[in-house]
Amino acid sequence: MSAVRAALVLAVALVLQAGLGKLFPHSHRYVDVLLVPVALYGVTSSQRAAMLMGCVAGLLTDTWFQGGPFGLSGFKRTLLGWALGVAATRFDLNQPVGRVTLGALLSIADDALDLVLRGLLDVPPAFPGPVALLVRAGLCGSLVAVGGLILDRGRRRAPARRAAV
Amino acid sequence: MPALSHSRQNAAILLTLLVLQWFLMSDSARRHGGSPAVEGLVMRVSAPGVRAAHAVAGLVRGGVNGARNLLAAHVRNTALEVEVQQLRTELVRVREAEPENLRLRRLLGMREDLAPRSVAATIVTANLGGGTRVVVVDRGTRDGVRDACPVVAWGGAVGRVVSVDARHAKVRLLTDASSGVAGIVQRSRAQGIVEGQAGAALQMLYVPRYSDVLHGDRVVTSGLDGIFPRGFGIGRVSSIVEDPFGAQTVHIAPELEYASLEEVLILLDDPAGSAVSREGAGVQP
Repeated sequence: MSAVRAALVLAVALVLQAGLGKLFPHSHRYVDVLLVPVALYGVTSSQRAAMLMGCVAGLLTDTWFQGGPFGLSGFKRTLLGWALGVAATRFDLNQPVGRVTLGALLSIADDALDLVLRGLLDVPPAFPGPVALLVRAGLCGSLVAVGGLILDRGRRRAPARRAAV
Repeated sequence: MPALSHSRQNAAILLTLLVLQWFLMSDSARRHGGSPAVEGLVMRVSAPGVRAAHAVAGLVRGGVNGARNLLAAHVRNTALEVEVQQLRTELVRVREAEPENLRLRRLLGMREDLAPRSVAATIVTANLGGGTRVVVVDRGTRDGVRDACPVVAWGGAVGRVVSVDARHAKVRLLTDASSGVAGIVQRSRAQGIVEGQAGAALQMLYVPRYSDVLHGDRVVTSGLDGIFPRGFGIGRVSSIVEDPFGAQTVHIAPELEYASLEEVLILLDDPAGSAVSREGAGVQP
């Protein structure tokens, strides 16, 4: 059930990212919706789930939205998912401010890792620029917060439905 | 202990995933392209989502563009409607001005042909019913108009001024019952006096019985009355009636459509001294 839900979340993120790309061709520079499930699963679920979510989300990003080495985003986000799992055990990130901060930091870390990995692979860097970096971070933080609210609402309704049944 | 085990499991998974993806990355970087097998698999699995996204985005974009185009079309339509309205108004004005222009040009041409000084005038009011057939024009003594000035239009003689003030003049039409003008049959030179009948038609009196007058002959002013210069059209013979006194009465259908007159030309010079031959050239439309 949780795998189905994760697949659905990823599908929604993919649809949103692809849809945004079609509506606004330059939107990939400023928003990365597929990073949101990684963040959400990192703070609300297990470390393993966050890693797997990061891996799949990264591969989806590599497949549909990246022109660099295939697996680069998967590698980054798997690592980020693991790091999130570690951070979530030490800090209470599952509240609005924490989610916004986490989303923003995750986005910045994603770009930083991208630079490093490209450097290691001797691939030309794809640094979006400071403004885009900040916009991405802000938007990612906001999306994580919104996604967290949606998840919270869903979780509150589920027990109520079960109780009613 | 279970926690440690869990952590180790996670570390093992992480390591596996990272190694696999590092391999994919290295392979891809070495090939300068994607790793076809895995990428193809991911693509096949996730393609429906992307297709759905494109379809939805296409719909949204289409809707937005449609709305935008609709709005632009609405704005454009409003502007065009205003423009069409303006053009319609302009067209009506131009259509209105076109015949006026033609008439004025004809008048101007006639005026240029005429030796007497003249002034163009617009009909302000008209009384074309009953026995009295008069029109009032917007020219008066200020413009040099005097009593008895002959008034013509494109197509022929109209009448003469019977009263005048500073800005207006009253013109008695040829069709007025008390109107009279010396006429001549253009073809045969038969002469007579053309009088109004308080109706649409005119009649030419005092035409000798032996005169050669035929149905359809054109009758013009002869200039012998001292009012109208020679050669202005009066009308065409519509019927001829012989009277028992050795004369014939010629009924004439006026050349002018008095009901549709809007501009006329008032001849200012003394016609007796300035009459010019209009015959031949004629005042023919």
